[in-house]
Amino acid sequence: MTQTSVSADGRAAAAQDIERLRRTVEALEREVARVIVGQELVIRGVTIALIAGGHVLLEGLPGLGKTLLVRTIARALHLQYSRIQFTPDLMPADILGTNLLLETSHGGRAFQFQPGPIFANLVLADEINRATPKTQSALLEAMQEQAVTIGTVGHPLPLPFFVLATQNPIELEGTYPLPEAELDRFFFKLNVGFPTRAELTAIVDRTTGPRSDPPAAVADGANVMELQELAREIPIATHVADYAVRLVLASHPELPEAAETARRNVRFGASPRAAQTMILASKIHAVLAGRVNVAFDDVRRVALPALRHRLILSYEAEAKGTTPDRVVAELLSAVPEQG
Amino acid sequence: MHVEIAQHLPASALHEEAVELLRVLSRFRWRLGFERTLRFGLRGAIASGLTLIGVSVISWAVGVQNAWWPAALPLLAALALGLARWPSHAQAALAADRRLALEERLGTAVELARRRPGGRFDALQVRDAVARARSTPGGWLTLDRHFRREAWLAAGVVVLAAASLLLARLPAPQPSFVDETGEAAADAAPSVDLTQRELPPGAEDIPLASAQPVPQAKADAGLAARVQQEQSERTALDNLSQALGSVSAGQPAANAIQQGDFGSARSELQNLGDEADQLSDAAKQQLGKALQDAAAASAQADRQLADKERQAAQSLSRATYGEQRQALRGLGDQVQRSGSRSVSADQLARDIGQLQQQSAAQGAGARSQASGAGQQGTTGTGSQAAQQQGPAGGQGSGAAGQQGGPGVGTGTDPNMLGDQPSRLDTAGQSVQVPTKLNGGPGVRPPDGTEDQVGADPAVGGRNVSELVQAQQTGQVAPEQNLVPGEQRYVVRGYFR
Repeated sequence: MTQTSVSADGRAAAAQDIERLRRTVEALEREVARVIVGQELVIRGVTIALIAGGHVLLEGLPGLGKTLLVRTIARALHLQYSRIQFTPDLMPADILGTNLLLETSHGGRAFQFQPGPIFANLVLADEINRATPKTQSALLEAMQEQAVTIGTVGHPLPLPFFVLATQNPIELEGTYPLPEAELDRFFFKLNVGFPTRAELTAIVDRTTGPRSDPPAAVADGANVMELQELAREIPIATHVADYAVRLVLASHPELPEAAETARRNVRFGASPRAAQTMILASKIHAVLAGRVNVAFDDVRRVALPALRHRLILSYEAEAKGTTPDRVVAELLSAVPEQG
Repeated sequence: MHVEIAQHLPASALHEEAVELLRVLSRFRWRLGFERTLRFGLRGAIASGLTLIGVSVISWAVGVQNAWWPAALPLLAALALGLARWPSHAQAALAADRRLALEERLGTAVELARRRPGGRFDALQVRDAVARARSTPGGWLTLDRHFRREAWLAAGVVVLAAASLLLARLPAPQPSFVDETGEAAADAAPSVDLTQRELPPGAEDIPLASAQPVPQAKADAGLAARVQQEQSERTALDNLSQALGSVSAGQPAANAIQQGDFGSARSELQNLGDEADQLSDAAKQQLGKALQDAAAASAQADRQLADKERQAAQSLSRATYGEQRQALRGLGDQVQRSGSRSVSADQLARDIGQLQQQSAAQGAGARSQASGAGQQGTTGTGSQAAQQQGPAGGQGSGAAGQQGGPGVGTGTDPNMLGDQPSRLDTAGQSVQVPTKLNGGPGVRPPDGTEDQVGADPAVGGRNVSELVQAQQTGQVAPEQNLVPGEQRYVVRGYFR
């Protein structure tokens, strides 16, 4: 076989992989759209995060379909799904599991690990900000390491592992803001907005009429893992990656590269995870946009969900009503593409 | 060539795609390089044009021959810089991505082609980039707004530079100094039309120190120009005075200007402005037209005064009372400024006399001697202008023996020392004395102020030519004694 034919075969295989990734995402979005009306950007964001292997924090008012969205995705991807309703009295062991002293068949007693609901592919942490920080922190290791440690024994979580958490932005009574370390572990923070009039009409029609068929499974865990590996190989030019890096640096008020808006409004800038998130998400966004390379536009489009929960605003900015979304928009305006 | 370039790339599965990529990029490189060179050339042309203009102006002013080669240096340097900064493949790729909206395809492809080992999607990406770049239509040059602006600027500068070359055909400006031969003064002196000048009040009584013999060796080079300037300023004020005198309401201001009392003239003009609403439309039109004529006549002599006159004329023709008042007040202010800038009548008369002496000494010495008219050194003339007319000036004098009337004559000044002719030396010569033109004996003013001339505005309001004409025709009022006061006793002595 000549070198040319090998090269041609490699190109064809790569093109098929790209096409498979694209088709999977389209199918997933199509199945989700059969249940969820509207919210295309939220669905696209969740899809990108899943293919990137990241966790998603969904923020929105009650009744907007956050839980339904997560459940639909779990079904469409044929993943093991568990739901944890976070409450103030929820304990870490209620999430992670615990060692129970059980009687053995030989009449003796031994500790046996009883896994908690976190041992699933897709975990819905509903109203995550209602649990105490201690319980919230129980997710830290699981989200970063895909494993939990009980006592001295580590227990790996099933892969792929996703945490999709929801929180209500308006209820402050009896809630505990998520610690920054946990916020940083969320790949995206997506705001679930209120549906438009047409969307609301469609929701009413769809939920009060005859029940429709449940979403079909378009992929499984293995496929998702394969797509995750594939997405990481999408090439990105150095100057494009540098743009994402400069965006993160510009969010740090103490650095010389800081943008003016960061100096005025930001107390702590985005972490390096933000740059990783933007580049990885940009790669998937590029593929979904029909390209095999990352463009500046991909970085810009994923910057908002990747950065908004990683910026800690100053007291003055919060008092003035400045939002992280506005700061991110100003960062995008301030940082030129060509450094 | 592209294959050779591609051979420098790492041997990989990308070899085939890299060749195609370089072929595409070479096209963009040439385009970008040409654009960059052109842009540098435009800037160089601007710099060269400005340099050429500067060189031309300096050469013309200094009067040396142009040295054009410095003007070519900026253009050559810019072109050299543009060629030296010929874009690389990576730069061409980035520029093409940006201009052709290729979404960083080419930039990524160039990077992937250089990278070793290649990734899973590298070949696919490079092929995609090449295909997209080939399918993108695009003009050969990107003439954005900035580029077009520079091009227009360069064209304008080049035109100006070409026009500056014509400077070499113009005569070089003359330096303000003259050589010792006094050619400048001699050339300038005839251009002064003294007969058209009006002497300021009191000028006729000025002792003409300049009547002293002037050595011809060296002439004051700036005197002619200065006299001309002084006369121009006075002419401008005279024109304004005549314009104001065209209406009765402006007569006080006209008189004040004629008398040299510019503070009063300002006040009178302000009063005229305050009472502008009292003027009839016909008077306004008449005054406006007169001011317009004065402005046209004075435009060269005193531009600021002419502007104010024009504004006043325009306001009188169509503006409101407030604007008329404002314009006339502005005119009054300008009159005061122009008046304060103009030289005194004494100085003007002195300068004129001096200039006249110089011209006479240089150009008319032989002619004066031949005529034997004894003009040189005489101070008994009614005016210097009359003196300039030579013997003819004496022809206008009336009957001798009459004192107090105006006239032109010759005489001697006993105060003069040296070789000036004495009073007795004039015996046997034709002496013309002031006459009482209206007939009858002259009457000495009862208050004994016959030596004080210029008190009557009517005298000051007439220019020299009019006075001379009046003397010749005997139409001078008896109170207008034009014989200088300190000289009159000489004249009187002939009749005692």
